[in-house]
Amino acid sequence: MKTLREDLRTLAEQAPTVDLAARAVQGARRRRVNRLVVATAAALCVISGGGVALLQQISPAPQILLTPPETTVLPLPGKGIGPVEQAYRPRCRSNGGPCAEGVWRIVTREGDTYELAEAATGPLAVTADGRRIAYYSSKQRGIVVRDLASGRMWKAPLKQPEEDFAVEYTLRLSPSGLRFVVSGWGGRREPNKLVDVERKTVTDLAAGWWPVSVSDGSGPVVLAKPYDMTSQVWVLGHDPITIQDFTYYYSALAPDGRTLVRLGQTVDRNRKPMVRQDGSIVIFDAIRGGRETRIPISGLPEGLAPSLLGSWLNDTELTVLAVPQEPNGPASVVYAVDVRTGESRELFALRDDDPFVVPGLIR
Amino acid sequence: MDRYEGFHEFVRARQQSLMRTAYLLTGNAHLAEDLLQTVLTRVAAHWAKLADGGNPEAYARKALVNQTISWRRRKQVELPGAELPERAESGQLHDEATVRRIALHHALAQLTPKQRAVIVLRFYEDRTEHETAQLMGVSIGTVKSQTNYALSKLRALAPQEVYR
Repeated sequence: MKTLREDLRTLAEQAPTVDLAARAVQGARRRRVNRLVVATAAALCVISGGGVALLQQISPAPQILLTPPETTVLPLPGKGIGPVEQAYRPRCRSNGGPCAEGVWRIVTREGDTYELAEAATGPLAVTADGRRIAYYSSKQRGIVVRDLASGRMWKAPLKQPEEDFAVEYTLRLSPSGLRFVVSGWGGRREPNKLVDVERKTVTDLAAGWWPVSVSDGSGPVVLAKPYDMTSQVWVLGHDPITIQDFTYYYSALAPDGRTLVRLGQTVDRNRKPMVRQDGSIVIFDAIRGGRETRIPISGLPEGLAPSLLGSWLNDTELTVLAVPQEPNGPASVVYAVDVRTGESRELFALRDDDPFVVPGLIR
Repeated sequence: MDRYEGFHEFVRARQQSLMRTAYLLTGNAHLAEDLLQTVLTRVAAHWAKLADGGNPEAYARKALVNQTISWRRRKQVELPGAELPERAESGQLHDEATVRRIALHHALAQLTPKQRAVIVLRFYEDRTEHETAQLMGVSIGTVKSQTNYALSKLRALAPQEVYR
């Protein structure tokens, strides 16, 4: 392996010289100020909310600590849980020591946070309406789908070893969660399967195609395959079409069963990176191809840029995740964007954790 | 007292070494700089704790690896650069080292971020399987299997180099 070591060292010597100390301290100061502002606001809320109670107490005033409020996390109950807003795995906070992979946490639209102890390995996916989750169960050796309100569970008729999720993978759910594509690459097995947990069927999909969108029942399944400067989009049952972008940034299939949206981008070979997203969405017919409509997204605050697309909220609105363009920018926010006008409206902000899951987001 | 006392010295002493690792992990100078700045900002934010008995460099290296894996999608917009011209600017043929370097650069770009991280940690930083597993937050079995996949891919992608 001497040659590989030597070649890696030679390649590493190409790294440019940098001087990042001042910029890093500046960034850390900004983060600190932001945190203190949030903590002070939280403390003020506590003071004003509990003001009456405090006045009735004769004992000395309690000490006010300027620390952010801790998240209360409960084990996920078997049923009776409302729709999910987002999910995340807590970021490792250890100082250089070993850091075990954390379990998934689910945040409901009502603001409650629950921990899903059974989903220690692999993916978690949430249906676009937030009502069902799917995750890998080591005990079942496969994906299970769970209705959060009723507690009903469906087991996938496909056994998968944990190693399928030690590499790159995607779990793409249909709106009901009862049909999904699970695919993986970079490992020994590289599965690419369409699974129906209600009908108990498993269908092999062509290798090398990435799942974009899955509909319920016998509805359309959309796959994509990127090439150097183009991509192919394939609605199963039709011929694949070619689009003039290398991209993975698609929406779910629209309610009309044929319209797909992707993030707009420009390519300049003299620029690094050569491909940049341009803040627009491109609407196209995933079955026939041909004419495309490009709409600039408006209403995003400065410092945030569209990064991923998701499910459709209705016939004209699509979810879009906007992320900070600078490492220390504002928090990522999920918006609804009107595909006819490009106008956006804020839905909710994401926690600063990664990996994260937003119901219906295509990533 | 300055909250960041000693941080500038740490960065001055270690940033170039960290930058080389960041460059190998991302394969792109701009992304590497972006990645390292993000990580150093985090180090600065925790500097008081790290300087007081912590290990800032270990923290930074672990954060580099984890951050680069979570930037998977960003990496995918990086397209392969132009093909190696047959002759260098002087009109001479490229030397063997340059050809090998560019071939490896292209081959690494085809690996998944986890495979790339395993190769960098095991064969550039000379980490043991145990250390690599700790840095990546995965099991030793995953490190072994990812190393095997990555090496097979490199052999297929850069056959002239025959990394065995």
